[in-house]
Amino acid sequence: MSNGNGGPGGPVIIAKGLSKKFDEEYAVREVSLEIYPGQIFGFIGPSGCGKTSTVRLLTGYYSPTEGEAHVFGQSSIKLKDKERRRIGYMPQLFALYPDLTVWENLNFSASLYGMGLFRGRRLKKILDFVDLNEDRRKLTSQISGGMQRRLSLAAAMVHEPDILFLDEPTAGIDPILRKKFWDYFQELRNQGRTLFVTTQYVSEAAYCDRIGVMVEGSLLCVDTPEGLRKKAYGGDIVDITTEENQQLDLNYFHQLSELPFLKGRPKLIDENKVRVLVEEASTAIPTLIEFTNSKNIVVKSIEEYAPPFEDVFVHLVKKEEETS
Amino acid sequence: MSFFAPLIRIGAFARKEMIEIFRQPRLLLTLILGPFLILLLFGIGYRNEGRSLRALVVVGRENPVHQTVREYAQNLGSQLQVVGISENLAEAKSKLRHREVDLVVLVPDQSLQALRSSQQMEITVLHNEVDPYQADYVEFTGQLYTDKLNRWILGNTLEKKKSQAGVIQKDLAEAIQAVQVLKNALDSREITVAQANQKKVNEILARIEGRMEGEIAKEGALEPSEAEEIRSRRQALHANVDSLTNLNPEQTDYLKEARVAAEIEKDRASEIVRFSENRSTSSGLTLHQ
Repeated sequence: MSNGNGGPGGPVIIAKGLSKKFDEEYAVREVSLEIYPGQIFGFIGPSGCGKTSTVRLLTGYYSPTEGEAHVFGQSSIKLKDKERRRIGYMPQLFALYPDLTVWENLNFSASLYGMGLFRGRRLKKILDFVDLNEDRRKLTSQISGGMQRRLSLAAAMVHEPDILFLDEPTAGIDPILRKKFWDYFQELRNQGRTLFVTTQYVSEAAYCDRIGVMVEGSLLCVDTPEGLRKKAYGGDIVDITTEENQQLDLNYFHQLSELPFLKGRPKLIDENKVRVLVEEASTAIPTLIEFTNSKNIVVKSIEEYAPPFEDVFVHLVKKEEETS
Repeated sequence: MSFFAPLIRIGAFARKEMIEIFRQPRLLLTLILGPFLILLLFGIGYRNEGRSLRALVVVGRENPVHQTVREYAQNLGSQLQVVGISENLAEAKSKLRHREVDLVVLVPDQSLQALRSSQQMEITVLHNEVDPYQADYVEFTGQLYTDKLNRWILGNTLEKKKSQAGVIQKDLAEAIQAVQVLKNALDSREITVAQANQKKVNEILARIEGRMEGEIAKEGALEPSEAEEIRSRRQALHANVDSLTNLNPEQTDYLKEARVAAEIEKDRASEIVRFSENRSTSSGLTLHQ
């Protein structure tokens, strides 16, 4: 593990055995992770599992009870102005001023970051980015909740930070706007920025490059979305679907079960569909096609099934409970 | 990050605060008018005159200052309104408990003794206030007015005494003058003049005696020993004056009668001194609650 100095290819955020106690109770327990530049790191877990506390530990707002956190190679509690200017933070709750207009709020945030007086073009650009330019003269108290979230995002990134900590940016907003937000995040990622996004919507894991799953203050696992699926189910899931007039018989089912690369027993979903678990879908699918054809069964499709992340999350938690 | 970043930050805060204030007219109004409104409210609530206290004076009917208190309690001032004079302390306390009165002013039975010796009367003021602010007010006002009453009673008593003493002193001076003429007439054996002055002395002494008798008759006005002393001196004086009643023109000398006249003169002179002392007595009371 490197020291997270943000050098080429090295991690920009590192946590080693990071823990935080409040009144003898752990809010965060031994979290260790590494986040590389130009990634969206999703931090997923139910409400109250310690996501916000972890963000606050990583940004240096909290001092860790145990362990340490490094950002740009510097301890998060000893970050200097120079490093802090490279960090943007969007808090979970709206923290801007309702009696100021959209423009004034953004201008104020820019001033706090010490940006020069000739920043009008940058502000306009950022407002364009979050689709608020036309509403810039409106009072913040008079714009919708979604617009307020977008304004918060704009305020967090007005100074073009390298790392953005976004604490539940999509909480409480409609799915269309959520999608739009993730499009923004991906665009920022494509610009080379690193995003640390917490969310309680498990389905949003699909938008991330890497995901950390947090349960009751502990980090369950860190992996790519696909890696998490595999970890949850123990392999890839493949669905074999036959034509409607071609019902799957018991004989086929038994013979399928005896294939050596199958993990576990096949699962009959309905009379035309059977689901199997294999080590690697890409290599197993051609064999499955060949096997099914040899049994004179007319196949409609044989394809990898990507279970929703809600199910993946539940599986992971169950597995963790069984292990512990 | 510009060199002026700290200034930019401070300026941003100032600007934000100004904008926020000007966007909230009610806040602005409160900031400007608020202090004046508070002053106005205080002004409305403020009363330059203290509340008038209802007082019940408890003074025994037998108390020598009873009549004086009754006469003057009504005119103490606007802040102490005497609603009655009572002799019953228990009843007064009951009224105080039921908040029918604010104060009970208790005049001591030994008031005259204190007055005679020019000492303060210990007037007790009772109240039933719990609120410390009101209690302070009641105690202060009560003290102020009872002190006034106290001073007034003593002052008034002494003034009366002085006035009475002044009249008697004048009679005494006249008597001394007549006795001196009598003595001189006896010395020069002018018996007719002496007889006329003896008559005059008799009349003056009778007048003084009448006045003194009136003082003695006033119950409690004099100590018993004092009254007794006056009476014995009066008897001696009578004896001396009687011995001069029948002057014999045939006598060879009037030395004995002249000595008696000198004794009468001396006695009256000492009486003048005593009354002068009474007249110089002044009131200097303080109130005890």
